[in-house]
Amino acid sequence: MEARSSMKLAIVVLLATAVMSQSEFTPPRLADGHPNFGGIWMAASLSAAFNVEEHGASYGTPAGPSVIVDPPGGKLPYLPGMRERAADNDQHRERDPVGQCHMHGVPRVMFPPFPLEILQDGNYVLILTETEHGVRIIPTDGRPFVKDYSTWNGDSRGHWDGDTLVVEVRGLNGRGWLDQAGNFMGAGAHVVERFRLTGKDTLDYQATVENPAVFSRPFTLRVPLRRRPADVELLEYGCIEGERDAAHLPAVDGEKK
Amino acid sequence: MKRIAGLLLQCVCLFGSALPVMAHHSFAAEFDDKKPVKLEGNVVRFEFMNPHSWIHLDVTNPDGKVVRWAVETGSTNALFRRGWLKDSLRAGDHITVDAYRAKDGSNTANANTVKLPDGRLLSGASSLGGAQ
Amino acid sequence: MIRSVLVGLLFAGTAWAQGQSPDLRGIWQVTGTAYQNLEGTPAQRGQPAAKSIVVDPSNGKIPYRADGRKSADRNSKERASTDPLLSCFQPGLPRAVLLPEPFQIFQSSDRVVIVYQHVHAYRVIFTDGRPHYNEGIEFYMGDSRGRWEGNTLVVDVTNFKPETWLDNAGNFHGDKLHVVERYTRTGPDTMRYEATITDPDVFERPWSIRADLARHAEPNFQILEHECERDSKGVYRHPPQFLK
Repeated sequence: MEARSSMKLAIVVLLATAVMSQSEFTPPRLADGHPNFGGIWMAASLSAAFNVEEHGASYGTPAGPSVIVDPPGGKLPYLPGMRERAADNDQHRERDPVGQCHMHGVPRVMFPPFPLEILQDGNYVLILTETEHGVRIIPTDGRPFVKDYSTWNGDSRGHWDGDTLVVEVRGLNGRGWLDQAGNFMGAGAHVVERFRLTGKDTLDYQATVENPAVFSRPFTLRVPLRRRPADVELLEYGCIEGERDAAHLPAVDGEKK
Repeated sequence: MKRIAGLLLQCVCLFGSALPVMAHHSFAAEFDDKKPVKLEGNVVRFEFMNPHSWIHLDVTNPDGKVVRWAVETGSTNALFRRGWLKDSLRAGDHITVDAYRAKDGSNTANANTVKLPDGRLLSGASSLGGAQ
Repeated sequence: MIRSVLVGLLFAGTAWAQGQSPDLRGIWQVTGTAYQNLEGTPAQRGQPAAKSIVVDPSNGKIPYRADGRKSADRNSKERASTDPLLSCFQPGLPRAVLLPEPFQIFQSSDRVVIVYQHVHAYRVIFTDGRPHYNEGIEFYMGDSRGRWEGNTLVVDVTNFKPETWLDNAGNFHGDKLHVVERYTRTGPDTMRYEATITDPDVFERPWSIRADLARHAEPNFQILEHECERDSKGVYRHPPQFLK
């Protein structure tokens, strides 16, 4: 009698465990106990690279839904006058700094139509992007931010919240666009990213952006990343060396701030 | 034995892999999808480079005049992953290109497809062409 | 001197005894000014003379074929308009290692990644034995495959684009460049860098350089962003604080 009820208990526990592990992914871990994000990744859907808001198709641009998960409604919460500025960018795509070989900035750098590589090494998370041979070096040792820093890819500091990597980004110069359609964040933007493995080949990426000079409230976008097949490697992407579009793309002295 | 890296290489084909490719800047910045051109001619020079590769092409117009065109394709990386190599096109190769002309009306175009001398049809890897 | 040698040996021995790959991690920078001229420079404009870092051949000269030296001299004269580095090209190798800017080495189980502050160029050095790419593609920073030989990371680099220079003096190579590098940590804050350079079209024989690297141990030192900008004529230029 006792043996049978303890066996029933064992079965219940086993079933419960099976259900739990189906609903929550246990990631592979590095020696330091943190989840291993290492590998080659790319946005599961590339439509965000073209426009983070919902958009229809045009030549060279696939249709896509909004990747803005907050505010509900999926629209960037621009302050009055700012959406007009984005629309003006859209009419002048030759001004896109990426077209001028600049690094994409955060969060745009996380979802271009090219692969990126994540590598963890001790107190660093390194993100290499194929585009513009871009680099993000993210220390996780709690060191302070660089003062008076104004750069394309910003200054990043990471820390672990359980199995989620949280990265705070400051020092963005605000000249980068958010997508190819001319959406932008402006100088003084502050970004907080969250990286979490949701499956063997899936990485949930979210970024919350705050800039009271451009937006009425912070917004959050979410672009799941998918692991690339095992034989994919980053290829060198020299841009400045081969940029021949100079004749067609006028020198940009100062994008509208 | 040296290895050909990249996702593809079994299928060097038009709508190849699910790996979409895009110019580093928007097509719309420079080219007009309402201005299709079909260019047939001899390769003068093929520059296999980033951010775009360039095919310099001598095209003979109906009136017999030879006009030099510069045809832009996708990045080396995109092309390499679709089977292109740095010597995929050589001077003298006769090719046909379906492309879209530059907005400024110059003899510059963005390749949609390129038909190679051996008859293979390759994507110019510049845009998704609506296939996504 | 003996103490530092012993410390170096002890350090190296410990790393090796741990049974894992040697640790090259850190932010490193070359000591010396070989970036000006691998063959050395005379004292000039308040700067002391620098010796050649070419260790083979023993005369410290790059063994050019034919008119190679004439071409290098012409490069040097026309440097302001022809040095690819000044046009914001990725520096190539070994030039990237010898620039007066730091680089950071990261390691994982199957690769070593080096990120150079200079125009944020980077290299992924696979150490899992996978072969090079075929000849169908070229890179400014080449294609790197590495292996560990005792305490030394040996990196074989091929598939170079021919457009890079070897230093500010216009020393150059062709499209058959092949570089074999050796990185050996000699102490907690020091590393020895050696490179053997081959290009049968340009040089009579393989030749080698040697340089010393020092680790940046300043608290919170980090690689900064070095990104070129187009000027009003559309020409890419280095930000002034990074121009050499």
